Parts: sequence; structure tokens; C-alpha cells
Amino acid sequence: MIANVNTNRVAIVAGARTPLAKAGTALKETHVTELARVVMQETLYRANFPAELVDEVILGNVVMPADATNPARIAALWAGVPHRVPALTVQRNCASGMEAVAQAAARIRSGEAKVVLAGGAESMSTLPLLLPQETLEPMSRLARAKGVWQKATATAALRPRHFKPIAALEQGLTDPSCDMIMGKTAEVLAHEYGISRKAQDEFALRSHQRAGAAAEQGRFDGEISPFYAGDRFEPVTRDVGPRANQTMEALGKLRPLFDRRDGTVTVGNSCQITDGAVSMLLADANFAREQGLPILGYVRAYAVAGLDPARMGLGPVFAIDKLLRQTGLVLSDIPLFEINEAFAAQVLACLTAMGSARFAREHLDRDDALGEIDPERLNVNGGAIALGHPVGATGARLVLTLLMEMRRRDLELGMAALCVGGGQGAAILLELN
Amino acid sequence: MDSAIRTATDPDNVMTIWLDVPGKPVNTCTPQLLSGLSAVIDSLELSRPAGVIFASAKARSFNAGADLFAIRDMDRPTVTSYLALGQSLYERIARLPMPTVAAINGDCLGGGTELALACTYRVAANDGAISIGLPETKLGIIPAWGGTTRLPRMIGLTRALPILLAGKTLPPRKAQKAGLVDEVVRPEALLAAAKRLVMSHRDRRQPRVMERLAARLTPARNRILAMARRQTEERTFGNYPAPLRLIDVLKAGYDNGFSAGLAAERAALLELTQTDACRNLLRLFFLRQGAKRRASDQLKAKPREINYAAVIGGGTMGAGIVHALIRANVRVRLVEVDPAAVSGALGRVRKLLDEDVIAGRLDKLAARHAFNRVSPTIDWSGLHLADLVVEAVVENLDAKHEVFAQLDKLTRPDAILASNTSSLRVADIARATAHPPRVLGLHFFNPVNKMPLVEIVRAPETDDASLATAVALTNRLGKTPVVVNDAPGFLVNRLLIPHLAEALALAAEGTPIDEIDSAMKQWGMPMGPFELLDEIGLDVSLHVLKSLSHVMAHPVELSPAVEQAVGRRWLGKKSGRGFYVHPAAKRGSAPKLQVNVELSRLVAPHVQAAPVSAEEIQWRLILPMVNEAARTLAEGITDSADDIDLATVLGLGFAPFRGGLAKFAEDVGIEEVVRRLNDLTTRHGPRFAPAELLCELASEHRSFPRPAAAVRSPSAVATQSLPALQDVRL
Repeated sequence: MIANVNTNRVAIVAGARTPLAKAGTALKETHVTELARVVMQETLYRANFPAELVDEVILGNVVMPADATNPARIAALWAGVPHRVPALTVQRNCASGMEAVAQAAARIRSGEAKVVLAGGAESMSTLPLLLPQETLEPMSRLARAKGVWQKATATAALRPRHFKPIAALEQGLTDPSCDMIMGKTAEVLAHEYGISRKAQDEFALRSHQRAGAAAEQGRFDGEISPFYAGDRFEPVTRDVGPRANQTMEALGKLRPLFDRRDGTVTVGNSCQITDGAVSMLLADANFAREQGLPILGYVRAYAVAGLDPARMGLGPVFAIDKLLRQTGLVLSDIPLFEINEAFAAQVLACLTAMGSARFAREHLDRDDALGEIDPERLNVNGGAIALGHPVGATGARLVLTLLMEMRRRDLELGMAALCVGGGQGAAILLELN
Repeated sequence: MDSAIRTATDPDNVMTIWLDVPGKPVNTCTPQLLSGLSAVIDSLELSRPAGVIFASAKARSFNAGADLFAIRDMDRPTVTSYLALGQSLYERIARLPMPTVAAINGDCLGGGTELALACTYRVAANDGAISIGLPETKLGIIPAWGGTTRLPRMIGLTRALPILLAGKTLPPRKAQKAGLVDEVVRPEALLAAAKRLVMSHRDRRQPRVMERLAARLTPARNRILAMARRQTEERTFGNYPAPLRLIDVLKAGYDNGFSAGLAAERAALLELTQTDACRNLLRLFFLRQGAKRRASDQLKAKPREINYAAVIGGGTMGAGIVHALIRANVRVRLVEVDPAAVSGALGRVRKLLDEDVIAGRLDKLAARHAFNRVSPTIDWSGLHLADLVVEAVVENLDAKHEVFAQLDKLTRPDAILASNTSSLRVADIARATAHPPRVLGLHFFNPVNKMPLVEIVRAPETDDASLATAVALTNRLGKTPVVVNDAPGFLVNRLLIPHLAEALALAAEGTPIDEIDSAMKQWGMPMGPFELLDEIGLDVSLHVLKSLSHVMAHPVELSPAVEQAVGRRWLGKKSGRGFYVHPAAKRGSAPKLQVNVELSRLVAPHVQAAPVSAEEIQWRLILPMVNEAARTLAEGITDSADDIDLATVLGLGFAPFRGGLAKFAEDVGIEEVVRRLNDLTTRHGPRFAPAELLCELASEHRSFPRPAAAVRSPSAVATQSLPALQDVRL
């Protein structure tokens, strides 16, 4: 018996995010802790809640920068959160931001905390170029060398290969356990679930169209807080990724990236590499009511599942399955979904798998298929293919975007899920009242 | 009585002498401290420690120098002996056989710096908030405990002169550059560094060879001193005797030797304390120190704490106010209309912080933390957190009403709503709210980071708690509060209007504007009225002159030339052309301004003026201010001529050596003022007609009302460093 009758409900009080900017564009010079600092402050102000009363800060971040290990702590201090308030950075790859929200919710549910500032942040523009590990030894010998002779011999030991740079980004997107870059896992799914190039491109196009329309109609206004970038404080007010003029022809011209000859996954039907940060204030619902804080919605449940790393794109299916079991709900109870668009092929494969009774029997220990998700109820404001995927931030971004849309449509339930590199899936269930 | 001195000797036989004036938050050179020190120095001659460290037991204060409040109450013979006591004590310290060091952990001013100069070495904690220097000339005196004589012998004559003459204080890093301190170390390592220095037995700092040579060779030295004298005369128009006497003292010291220099210091100080300039400057110093107390004594409420503030509008004034608040650890929500405006506002705030960093007042890290205290918004969210909101939008009642109506809905009922208006009535603005008692004026001056005055405006309904909080906050921002009642233009701008209007009238008669400006600068104003108009901006000036015209006893007859100039976009300094042509600003040099002849022609199209003497110009431009000051007293905008003095000096840069506008009028004599105004009335019209109050005071042989100043607090010297009177400008 795990259920505790006295558990506290977890309210989401306020949230804000930076515009999402394609790596190398508007936010390319901004440090990840600065992205997080700004949205944390904005969130607190939106909630009219003083930083002094926050119990903990939890931030999702994947590639923790060398100059700010535990970026949650640094960002919290930059934001003026008092020294006595602890801060934790969580890393569950693409689900890091969602994990942060979930951990915050868990703290509140258990009564350990009343108010937690949670979110995620990633600066993919500032990922460094690395030198090979084997460079370390000759370099440190050189640093220790005394006198001309020692220095000369130490220098002579360095070879051109010692200086061959490694892109941290590419390395980070590769799973060593199956030796596959993420795009390759999408190719596996495209092949196994028969997802055509055309189907992927159509999905990608729709993502751009929906994101473009959402921006046009101001549906992101409630979540985006303008960011003032660089020394000149250039205002960044909108997401940079969505392309209003995206066409099937343009998408069709792109060459597959991960299998040049026989593949179907292109940069056009994959998520964009992006910078951005998201923050949310979560509070014990009773406390929120006592304090007169606004309540946007509630975090009801969260589940993480593991699966074959080479098919990590199916993570959402496993996580959604687990979450439904946990809550006793069925798929058709959920009127609105966000499934992170790491790759069009991967999302489409998830939909196929969820609709398949065979998949259910073989992988989910269920007799019947999980169910169908109406495409009109999935990623209604576009997804990472158009908006971009700042890896550590996306999980929290999905929660915020989903919640805003639930409020707009006055829907009681909503679910967000992501696939996670390394073979995991995460899903979260939100409710409005 | 507790002693002000404690000593401790460590196993290496290094003695630390702790300065700790009992019962005060800061150290000053009280007679008690000096006699305590003297006794310790006596004992040193027997105990012979390996080295001596002078350290302070007070947090953030090494020694703020002579206790001016104590000196004020001394009679002349006591001052003379106090002076001699300090000088001989420091001389004995300088002659100690073992190395000595001053460990400067906080403000080190005047006599404090002279103590440090008497030591072999000086080491300071790395904290931009610390001021080090010899500000005596700002008070109309000179360093007379050996500072004038010792400093040039340590860092060189040409490097010492600007420091001594301007009385400028420096943060540690700049002080190190200037040679005032030998090392700047992290605060925790201060005593360790001090000990390392005394154990090092290295040579005391000496001027560079060329400097030593220049000082040794009489003709070279005389040329340097003559040049300094000329420059000082040009800058001060001979209004300030102290810097000139200082040059005499330097000369005496070099011509006739070290002890002759010390003797000259003493003689000069005693002489200078008898000058009007010194009395006036000291009086202003005391007024300024007492300003907070005077302001709070009027109020029957305790200030509330301000942790969160909001500033509406991030233009020049708004950004300046944001900067002042974040420097004082207040979190600020900055409200602007659109992202482009936010971008500009953040840029302005960052620039002000960068200036602090360049000046050494703030290190880069502290500047970053300060900047992070600003959070901009275009959707007015987060205002419920604000304990105080300062509105700094355009000077337009409708715009202000819109803002205050919003604030009324968005803020907590206990939040203070302040307007930075300069020409509107606070009560009119407060009408837009449902709760006027929390509305007041917080009138900062431009540029906010340089101007030390804040007018706190009390509207009829404003409650004391709000005012008391505003007074406390102003003080926390390092500025001087003056509480005034609500009337258009409040005090400072109200007094400025007749001055500017009369300058325009004089120019319209054909007197060249550069002659007018030059006459006023000679008189002691930091800039002439036309330079000031250019600085403020002709558009802003025109708006203020027009909107305040009706408040004057005689409406301002404004020359149409100003309007024409604004039409031509001759807006003054900001547009490059106004009454003067302003060349693009070059760093560090102030080019001589050329008159914009075309505008001068517009102002005085046909008239060929009979030459007007500088004195005539001065009377015509100052007396209308005196007249207006009398009216503000009569109308109860302020009840104290002390506040008029303080506000005119700190808000307008009004000739500090004259002690302020009201004090000047009293020194002239109210009867004489009335006589001269009557005379001007006959010659130039009824706008000069003396105010009723002036006539009344004159006939009853009374002076302006100055309600008894509150008894000073024993710690009044506390945290503020000496005022930067000569820095004052608009």
C-alpha cells in the first residue's frame, strides 16, 4: 500500500520561458545560468512571490557547463534566491526539465517543501569543442615542465592528433551503449514501423504550421517572457524556429542526415538544436490558497520507464502505459497530449505502437492496444521540430505549454511525454481543477 | 571611561594598536583617541616592538578624521592645542624606529589618512565602498596634521597636488594607483598583509626620480606651484581660499623644510577656519549630516522596510533611480511600454554600473549581482511584491493618472506610490488613486548618480509613515532628503525658474549670453544659466518654464526665441546645439563652448545693449531667487531656511562657499536685499517687487525662519563620507 491519503496536492502557480532560439542565433552568447536566472525571476514576479520564501530550486540541465557545475545553484544565486535555499540540478537527458518538475512535485507531495522553483535550461550554442582525453597527459607535463629543456621535450611530445577537436554536441547526442547517434535510433523506428519519408515530412510541416499559427494568434504570449540578449540587450520576443513558409518541396529537398543513402530522417523532420529556459513555481495547493497565490493547474502523476536504447524513441509509449496504470486511467480519458517531437519518425512510431495490440502484448503486458491518439489532440501548438528542443528545458516547456492549452480549452486532464536518449521515456499528467 | 585604544603583541613581537572609539559606530580622531595613542607611543619607546600595526576595531571604518562636531564646540585655544597635539603625535609616529603600517579596513578620511601617511606602509582592504583621502579643502580647510606636507614627499608633488587641491576621496584600487596606499588585499587578509609589510622592512614609498628632482629644483617647483595656483584660480574664481592657502603651505614646506611646512599647515588652518567660506562649508556639512534627522523629526511615524521596489519608466531618470535602488540592495521590477524601451532602459542601467566599475566604486562581480536585481516587464506583473513604486514617466498629468490608476489596482494597499514629477502637483496625481495617503513625491535630480539631493514631497493627504519610509530610503541610497510641501516645482525648480527667466530677459536686452554665464560662474555657480538650459534641454526647460509660469508672482514673459529654437531642434547638449554649439563629446576633455550666434540673434534681434557689469548681472539673476525663496517660505512649501540652503546647494550647486541661497541673503542683509529689489523694480519692472515676507523681515530686522535644528545624534558622522560639494552640478 503506497498511497497516502494525506498527501498534498501540487499546484502550478506560475511559469515563464524564454523564447526558444535556434542554436547560433539570438541567444547564442547567453550563458545557460543567465537564461535560467531571467525566467526564474520572471516566474517569481508573475506569482508575486518573494524569493525569500522559496524552499528549493530544482533545474533540469543536460550538458552542465564546465564553468557552472550545478547550474541550478548558480542560476538561483544570480536570481537573488537567498543563500539558505538549496538548489539541485537534475539530469535525465531529454526529460531533465520534466524530471525537475516531477521532483519538485514529489517534495511538495511529501510535505518536505511548500514551494519549489523548478524548470529546465539548456544552451546548446555554448557547448564547447573538446580536446581528446589523451591530450591531457602531455599538456599537464608541459604545464609542470621547468627549464627550457624540459619544456622543449614536453612540447615535442604533442602531436597534431592531440588538437583534433571533438564537438561536445555530437558526442552528447550519441549513446555509447548502443553506439548510435539519436538520429540513427529514429531511422531504426522508421524502418521497423514503416514510417515513410513523406509521412515524416508531412508531420514536420504540420508542426511548423501549428507553431506558426499559435505564435500568430498569441497562444505563446502567456508563457514567453521577452529576453534581452547580449551586451546591447537585443529584445528576443518570439520563438526563432517556426518557419511560416515551410513547404513539402523544401522539406523534400533535404538529404537524410544519419544515413545519407538509404535514410529518411533529415534535419527538416527532426527537432532543432536550440537554446532556452523554462521555469515554474510549484506550491502546496493549500499553502497556495492561504497565500492567495494564483493556481494554474495541478501536477497529478509522473512516470518514467526504461526500454531498449536503440529504440529510445518509443519511450513515450512505455511511460504513458506506466502512468495510466499508476492512475487507473485509460488513454481515451485524456483529451490533450504533448509528445516531444525529437523526430517525426519517432512520434509517428509511438502512435503506431500505441494503436497496436501486438505491441501491447509483446511489450506492455496488456491484452489490448493502449489506444489511439487523435492527431488533432496531439501537439496542437506544434512541437520541437518547429520550436526546437533545448534538451534540458523541453520537459518543463511541454508542461507549461500543455497547461496553458488545457486552460484555454478548459480541459480537465492533459498528458505530456518525451523519449529520452539512453532508452527511457517520461510522462506527466496534469489536471486543471 | 573606556579607552579608545587597545594593544596586543604577537609572538613575533609585532604590536597591533586597535583604534576603537567607545560608543560610536565609526572611529574619529577624538581628543580621547589622540591622548590614548600618545600614551601608547610613549610606551613603545620602552617596549620596542619589531613592528606596529594600526588597525580599527570598527567594521567598515578605519578613521573618519577629526570629529567636526567636537571641533565645532571647541574654543579657539582648544582648537589650537588639539591641532598641535595631533601634529606632534603623528610626527612621533613617523619617527618611530620600527616599521609601522596602517591596515585600512574602511573609510579613511582626513586625519585618518594623515595617520596612515605617518606610517611606513599603508595596506587597504579591497572593497570599492571604502573611501580614502584628504577631503579637507571641501570644507574650506587643509590637512594640517602633516598630510599636506607628507603626501607630496611620498608620492611626488605633481601627483599629490590634484589629490590635495580637489579634496577628492578614492576607493582602494584608485588610491593604490595614486600611491596613497601600497597594497590592496582581500579584506580577510588585511592583518596578515599588514604584518608581512612590517616584517619586510622594505623602503617606504618614495616619489619617482623625476618627481623628486622637480620638487628639489626650486625653479621647476615654483613653476609647478604657479601653474597649480593659476588653474585653481581659474576653476574657483578665487572664491575658495583653502586650495590657494594649501599651495602656499606646500611652498613654505619645500622652501624652508619639513618642520616649516608643518608650522605653515597649522597657521593656515587657524586662518582658514576664520573665513566665511569655511564657516559656510562646515555649516552645510552639519546641515547635510542632520538632514535625515531633521526630516524624520517632523514625522510621527516609523519608516517601513523596503526590499522590493518597482520603477515605472526606464528613461534617463527612471534608469538612474533603478541604478540607485539596486546599488542599495533593493530588488527592482522595471516597467516599460515595449521590448525596445526595456532594451534601452537596461542599457542605461548597465552603463551606470559600468561607470561605477571604472571608477573603482564597485567590482565587476558586485556590479553583476546589482544588475541581476533588475527584472524588466512590459506587462506590469509582479507589482504586488513592491513595497515602493517610483513613477518616472513623461511629465503629463494624463499619463501619470493612467499609471497611478494602474498602480492602485496592482499594488498592495500598504505600498508607497511615489512620483518623480518635477513640475506637477503630487495631490493632482494622487487623485487617480483610491488611497492618496500613500502617494508622495520623490524628486530625484538629473543625473541621479551624481546629484545628492532628493526632494520628498508631502501632499496634503500624504501620511507620515509613507514620508518616514521615503526619508529612510533616501538616506539608504546615500542621498540627502529634504521634505517639502506640495506645490508646482516644489522647492528647487521653483527657485530656478525666476533665475532662468531673468537670464533670458537679460539676454533679450542684448547682453551676450557668454557674458551672463561667465558672470554667474565667477559668482560661484557651477554653470551659467545658458549652459544649464542647454544641459537640461531647451524642450524640457521650455515645458517647465511654461508650466510653472503661473505659479510666479509675475508670469514669466518668455522670449519666443526659445520656442523657435525648439522648433529648429536646437535642444541643447543632447542635440549638439542650443545656446551653445556642443561638439561631439570627447573623453576627458571639456572643450570651450562656442556661442550659437544664430540663436543669440533670435533672442535679441535688434537690441544693442548698454554694457552691463558682471555685478549687475549677478544681482539681477540671484535676487529673484531670493525673492522666490521668501515666497516659498511664506507659502509653507518649506518652513526652514536651512532646507533652502541645503536644497539650493545640493540641487542647484548654488555657490557652496556662500552657504546656500538663504544664508547668502542674510549675509547681504534682508534690508539690503529689499532695497536692491526695489531699485531693480524701478529700473526693470514689477517682477522684481520684493516679496511680502522680505519686507516684513526687513522692517522687523529679523532673519529667515530656521526652526531649531534637532540635537545631533552622537553617531551623526556615521556612515556618510564628507559631502562632495564642489562636485555638485546639474
